Amino acid sequence: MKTKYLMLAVGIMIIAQLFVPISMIVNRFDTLNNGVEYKFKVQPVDPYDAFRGRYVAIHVDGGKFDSQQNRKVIYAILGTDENGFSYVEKISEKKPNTNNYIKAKSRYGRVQLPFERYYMEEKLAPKAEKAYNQDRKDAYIKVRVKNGNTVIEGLYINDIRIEDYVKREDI
Amino acid sequence: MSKEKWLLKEIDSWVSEGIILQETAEDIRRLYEKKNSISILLIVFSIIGAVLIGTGIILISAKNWYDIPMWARIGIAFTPLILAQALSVYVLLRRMDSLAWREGTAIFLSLAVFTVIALVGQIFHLPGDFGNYILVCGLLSLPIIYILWATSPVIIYLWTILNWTALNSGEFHWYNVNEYIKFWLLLFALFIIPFIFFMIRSDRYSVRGQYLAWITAISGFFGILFLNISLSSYLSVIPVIIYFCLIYVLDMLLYNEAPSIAQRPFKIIGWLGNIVLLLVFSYSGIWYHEGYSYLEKFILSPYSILCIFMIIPTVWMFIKSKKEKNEIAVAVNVLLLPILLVFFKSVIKFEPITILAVIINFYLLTIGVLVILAGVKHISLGYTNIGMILVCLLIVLRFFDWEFDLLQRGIAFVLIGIGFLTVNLYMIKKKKAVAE
Repeated sequence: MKTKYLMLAVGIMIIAQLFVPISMIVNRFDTLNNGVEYKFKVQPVDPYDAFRGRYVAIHVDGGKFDSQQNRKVIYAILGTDENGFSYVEKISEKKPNTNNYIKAKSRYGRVQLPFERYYMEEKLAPKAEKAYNQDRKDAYIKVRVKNGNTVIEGLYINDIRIEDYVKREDI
Repeated sequence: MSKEKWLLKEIDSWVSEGIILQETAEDIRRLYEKKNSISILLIVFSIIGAVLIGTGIILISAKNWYDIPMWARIGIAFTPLILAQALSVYVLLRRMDSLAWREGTAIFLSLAVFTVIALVGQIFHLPGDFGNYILVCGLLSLPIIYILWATSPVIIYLWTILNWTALNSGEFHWYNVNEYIKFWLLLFALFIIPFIFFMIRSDRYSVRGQYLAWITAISGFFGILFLNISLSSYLSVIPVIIYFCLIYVLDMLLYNEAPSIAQRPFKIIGWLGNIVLLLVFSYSGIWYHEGYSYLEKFILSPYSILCIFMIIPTVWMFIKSKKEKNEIAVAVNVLLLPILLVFFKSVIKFEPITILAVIINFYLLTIGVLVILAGVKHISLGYTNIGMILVCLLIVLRFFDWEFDLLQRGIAFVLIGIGFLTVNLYMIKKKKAVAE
């Protein structure tokens, strides 16, 4: 009898443990496949996260947000400049009716967009940073956006995907 | 009490009643002691093995294989989790009697949860909110503790909720603290407290019981600290003092029959914690620091509710534990005096301030001397030296605090040294005399 209840508990636990990562995946796949593509200019640096390995830390400037409230969810409505790069045009505290927005957070009076990391192979991440420093102007990320959710598709330097760029240039 | 302990106790009564011979009793004892030490080793190795494999998988997967297609990387991410889940079911059905299997599998599953969430984050380049990441993983691995009745993941769970709290309260200034974080921490702590309570109550002197007691006493301190640190005044020390007293008194109820002082974690941490706090407050300089203290903020904040919630069980346990009356008297003093002083300083603006430090100094000196006397009375070198260290520490601290010249300091240190040696020699002689 006791084992029966424990088995039930194990079942619930297993479902919960699978549900969290799977829901993360489903959401991102949907955004990747059905989202609209945007490009953002970035500035990478190279740190290390013990759990998740090497990544290129990227920074996309989201502009100012006039409030001292930290970690408040805000909506960044996107615009596109003459070169085809996206930027934050307006900030809304309510969900916009249009499709061209990203769910972001306020942080010390600035807009924090959900683009912080681009994970790479251990040996390639420092090379990526070096490559970026040489071609500072032309680094950007391709992002898919759907219903405010985002997924980073790739990091590009000179229109070449970074994984290929660092291999080809032999830096 | 575990089966082995019950048996060992029963053997004595069987021998005295003449049911079994002394030699048979020895044989049985040896058999069980051997079995016991083997099973502890097995548990330890199974945990170490599981931790090594788990962290190894985390490191291998952190390598980020760009060349492997996405679906395959997702498959790799889920492999350790599904393996660990299958193992859990197997242990539950077939191996529940083996502690080594239960503990090893439980910690492996916890690490697998960390791996899968981290890898999904890596595959999709998700923003790295470390606090939320570890909290989600901690909560997802909580059930296995109850299901397999395993203690090894408890330390991971406690770490995740404390680290999450620390990271989130760090986001805010003290004047802008998110009070919700505190309630969340209390709620998350409530999830694990029943397990710790039952484990310590049923098996407090076993390796698992001791390990739980130590990490609980230490985590409790950090929890109380994080709950109150935002007050940024002397008042925030009061809950910490009460906490140390609470666990000190709790020890009297739980560990009264402990074979040695080393097996009384609540007592050691409670006593040491309050002594360290008293030493800090023995500096007159610290009393001049003007903290932010508002009586209204103190009385209205959830923090005073926390104080009351801790004082009530403390008083209740005082009344309940009738043994060790001297210790209770000491504990009551340790509880009351600093609280009163801190309260006076913060609320009534007591002057002159230096007197407060002087009182604390004499108070510490009294504790030190009382411990030495207790040691001499019971001929315990340990107690005597703890008291001596306390007294010496106090003298040394005051010598750096107040400005004495080198000659005076030198003489004082020589005298302390001579005193230390004399008392120890005297104690050793006395011990020998008693032995003879």
